[in-house]
Amino acid sequence: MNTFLHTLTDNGELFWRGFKTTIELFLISAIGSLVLGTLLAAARVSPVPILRAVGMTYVQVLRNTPLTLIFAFLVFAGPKLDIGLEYFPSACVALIAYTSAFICEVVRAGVNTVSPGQAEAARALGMTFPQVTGQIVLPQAFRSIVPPLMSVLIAMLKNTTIAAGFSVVEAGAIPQYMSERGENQFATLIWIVIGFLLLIAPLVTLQRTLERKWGVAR
Amino acid sequence: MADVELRALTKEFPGGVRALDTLDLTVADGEFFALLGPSGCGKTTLLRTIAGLEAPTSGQVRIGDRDVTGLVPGARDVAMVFQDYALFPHMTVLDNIAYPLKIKRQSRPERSGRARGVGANLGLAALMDRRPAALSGGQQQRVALARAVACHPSVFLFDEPLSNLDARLRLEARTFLKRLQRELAVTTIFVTHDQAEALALADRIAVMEAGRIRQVGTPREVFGRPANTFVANFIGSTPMNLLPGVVSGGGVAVAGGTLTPSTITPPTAPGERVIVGVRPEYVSLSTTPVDGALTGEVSIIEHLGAVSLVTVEADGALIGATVPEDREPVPGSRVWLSPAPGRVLIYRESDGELVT
Repeated sequence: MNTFLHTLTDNGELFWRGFKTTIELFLISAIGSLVLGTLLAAARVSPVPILRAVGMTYVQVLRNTPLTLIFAFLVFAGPKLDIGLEYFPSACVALIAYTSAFICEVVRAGVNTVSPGQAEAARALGMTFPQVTGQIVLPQAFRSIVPPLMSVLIAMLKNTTIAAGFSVVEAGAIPQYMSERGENQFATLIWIVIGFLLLIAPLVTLQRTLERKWGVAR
Repeated sequence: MADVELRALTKEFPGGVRALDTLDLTVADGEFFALLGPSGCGKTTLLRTIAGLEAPTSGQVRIGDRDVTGLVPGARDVAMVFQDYALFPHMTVLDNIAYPLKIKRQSRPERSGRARGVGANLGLAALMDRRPAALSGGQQQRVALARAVACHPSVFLFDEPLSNLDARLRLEARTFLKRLQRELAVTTIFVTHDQAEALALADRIAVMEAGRIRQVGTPREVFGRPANTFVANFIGSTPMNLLPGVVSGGGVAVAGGTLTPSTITPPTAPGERVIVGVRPEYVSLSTTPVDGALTGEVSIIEHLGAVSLVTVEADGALIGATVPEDREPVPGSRVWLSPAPGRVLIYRESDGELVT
């Protein structure tokens, strides 16, 4: 038990640095993919055919490409195409590009739960497409997609560990450093699991709060 | 304030369904106008085309002096109330009413003040902070009306405004709607499949069938002198008697008897096949023989409250007549039916149009 505790306390700085990066990676990518995913969903339900085509192509390509490949593309192929980014921004871009395709589909499913009469009434009151989507349809759509949205975000939180393979020192990179320091691998992994559980807890709480708050608004 | 004019309006849906067929119509400024017809007749498509939610295949929609055919709904200065109200569930009553004003770029205090004013006029003052889900059907309808009224449009468009209310509330809401329209004096076009609703509310009615208007007139005209057998059949809470007959000599042979010139003006050509139309309300029933009356046996009696509808079988034809309560004849007994003078309508059998 003592060894187990010491694994953490002796390497506190490494754990802190790793999880801090994970949190940063998560927050930036979560916000980025929520924004991009929502815009993509709006494009996919818009009356403009070219926007719908762009949205659909994006989703088909990015959703069907393994995330590791997207990382590899940005980190290794990126510099050759003169879009060389630092490792951390590359990781953010890869996570946003990949996750937004999933968010788009979840949001689109939510849009489909809003009765077409809502959009029509809004249109009849003189709202433009951006107003109809932003003020009437999306606020209602989000109310019905809190659980699947959270699942996507939780999956993304775990996907951040792929960044370790591309030179970003986040939680997923901790085991390698620990093994170089000759620390107990088993204890290290347990601590990382606990770390992720602690990170996911606020998301679960957020989901419950939103569901309760928005549940009455229907 | 504006009149609405439709010129040769046609709407063809992909697949070739003609919902509107070269339709011409003028609704006067301030008029309360009903579009009436069975489901699928194109009345809702017509309303949506005026609103700008559907684009016509050809023809013109004019509101006031403007051709609005190509304009988006918001630029037409109309406000529509939907059948299911389409209130925004994530907004309070106040925001539901005030939100359209935000689109029209009014300041926050201005729009909230106007929304509260309109809400109070429609008896919603105590409900302004509730959400639509916490309102009764009648209250939701009034919020939908308030949302339209607050816009101060030149034309109101109501799609089946009363059909989502239960029967008793519907009568209340009907009176309320008529009073509101009178007070605001805004041109109002509403769609209904309920002929009683159209008769009760409208200044004028257009009866539609298969994308065409079959008759336009005041409730009195449409009820008293339906222009064709379609309208005759559709209007009236008890269906009009429509009996096949043949012009003969000085009258029309119908249902085993002859209606003589004292009750009808006979149409021109003897031998012509016609349809005789007379409302059950205008047929008097006697249990003793009457000269020149049609005779038959009582088959069914339906109680309608203050009156009863008696169905009489006369020479194979079924004729309805209303009698005051407590004056019902005995089923199976012989009775004599005489239509009220001047209330008998003659339609051509060939095309169903009114002859006289």
